[in-house]
Amino acid sequence: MEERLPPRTLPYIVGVTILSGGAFLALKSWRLGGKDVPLKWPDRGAMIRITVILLAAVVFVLVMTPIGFPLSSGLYIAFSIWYLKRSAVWTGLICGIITGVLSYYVFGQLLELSLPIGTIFFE
Amino acid sequence: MGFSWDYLLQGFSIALTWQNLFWALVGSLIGTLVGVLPGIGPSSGIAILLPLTTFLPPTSAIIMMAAIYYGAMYGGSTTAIVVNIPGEASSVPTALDGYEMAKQGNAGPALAIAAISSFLAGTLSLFGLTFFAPICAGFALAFGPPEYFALMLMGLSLVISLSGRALLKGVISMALGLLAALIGQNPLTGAARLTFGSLDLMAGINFISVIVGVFAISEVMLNIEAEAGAISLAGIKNLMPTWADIKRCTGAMLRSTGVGFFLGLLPGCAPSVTTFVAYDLEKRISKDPDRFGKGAIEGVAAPEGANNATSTAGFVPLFSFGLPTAPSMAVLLGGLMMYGLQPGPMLFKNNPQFVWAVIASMYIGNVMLLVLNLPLVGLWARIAVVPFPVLAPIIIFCSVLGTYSIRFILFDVWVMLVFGLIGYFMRKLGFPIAPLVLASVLAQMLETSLQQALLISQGSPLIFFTRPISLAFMILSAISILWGLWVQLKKKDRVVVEETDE
Repeated sequence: MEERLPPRTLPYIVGVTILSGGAFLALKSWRLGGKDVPLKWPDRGAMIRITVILLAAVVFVLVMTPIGFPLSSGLYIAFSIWYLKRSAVWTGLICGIITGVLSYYVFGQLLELSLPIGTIFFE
Repeated sequence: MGFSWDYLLQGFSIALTWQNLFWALVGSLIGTLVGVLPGIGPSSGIAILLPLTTFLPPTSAIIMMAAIYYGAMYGGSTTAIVVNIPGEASSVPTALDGYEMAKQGNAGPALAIAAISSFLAGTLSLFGLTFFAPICAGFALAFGPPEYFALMLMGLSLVISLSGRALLKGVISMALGLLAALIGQNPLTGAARLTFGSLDLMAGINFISVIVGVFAISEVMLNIEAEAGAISLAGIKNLMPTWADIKRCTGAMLRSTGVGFFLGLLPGCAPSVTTFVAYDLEKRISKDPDRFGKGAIEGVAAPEGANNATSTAGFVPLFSFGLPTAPSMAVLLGGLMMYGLQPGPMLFKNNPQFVWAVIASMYIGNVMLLVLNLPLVGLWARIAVVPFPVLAPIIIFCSVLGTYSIRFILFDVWVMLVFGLIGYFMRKLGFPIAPLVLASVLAQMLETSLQQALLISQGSPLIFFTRPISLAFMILSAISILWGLWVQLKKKDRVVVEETDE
């Protein structure tokens, strides 16, 4: 089949649109002294909260294969709830245990999703 | 091909089997829950659950997904009225008068009229869907690749010009969506591009990951930033509205159904837009507009009616053209494609049982939601009190589980987290998200039809302007972009609709 649309065309159009649009926006913002978009960045505390929760999610995904989905998800839930609300230690623990058990029995066994169960326990 | 009672009755016979009734009920319950909980909207709710439903037959799965969608429209009003926190962007106008009514001790009637108005508008628009969709599909049978390309181009340009913010940012947002979708294999030739030799990128970026990222994850980040705490709740007494209330609202309900339905046929007119239009219309034609914002019951009935009418109307272009009008419709489109069902005129021709069963189930679902919502509204309001510190990790957990279950590769989860960050910064910087999501879902069809059209015309782009239907779509897309530009230049500081997951 002869190709009428060279493979480079679309990626180039899209790339040029993004770059030129971005350049135009940057120029406009520079001319207005950055007053065109009133930006509200999070304060230090909020920044740390967001970073920790996202890092926890990254660790959750990283350890998913070695220690298995049920255990990693349970730990993730317990840690995050405790981190966001220090007084909720028990809520976090209970939610974590429920999540782990649900992950194993409902998602893994009942719905037969092939979730990792942990390479360090099951070779 | 037109409407036929045979097909509709056949659809009801499938929708009324106990499995399908059960899944419609489950969908309605989950939908109401998604609607009630702030921080998770219908698009991310459906996107997260979509991969988990693969054990169901396609009809039951789509019945459940559709129920989640319109169920969320019912649920969104509850927190808007009771605690002045709209569960969805589309419920913002509901909060204006609904919360005032609640403060005056009339939360019960407000909640009841919201449910009644939702039911009436949902059911009336279903009649519209039942009769319009087959007619549109018949019309779309004449479409070839050039018409499809022009139609999708029109859809995208409407979404950009209606997304309510800077036009250029809308264009960039769309281009980002296309860029993400271009990664991987060319749908027609299979050639790899933008993969940089990576096997993961070769598999392509799944748009479910994109949607869950930009909606669910970025919403969670915003809520963590704002340190959303627990919500306190007043008791709800005297539930039923008086007959005078209902009489007073009948006009508002019918008008908002019309506004919501017909605007809802257009791409870009998501419920978050039409609810404002309907509210504004009632205020304009009211004899004493001063009552609005101070607890006018029509001010609750109108946006809720428009909300449900719009969400039902979105199924007309989805089923007949395969064109999603809002992000949540794009997710449903993705769900249909996951089951190998290509929406569009051929769906009505090849899978009539499926389409009509889903439409019939929506009639049933609306009745279920009315029954669920009237007596249980106090219960739903109490669920909204789940503190966000507990909700946030659960939403992230569901997002990881949902995106992992699409293809069982970790790469999809990483993509989801990256798009969460992208979505967060886009929201912070005032970029609309809808163009990105629609573009990432439509990209493959857009590209395929472009390539096919150019094959037909032997490389000449004139083919889009020489065929009448395609020409009409091209002109409409040009008009919508010019109109958007004109509006932007004329009014520098027009009211911006706060955009979240609608």
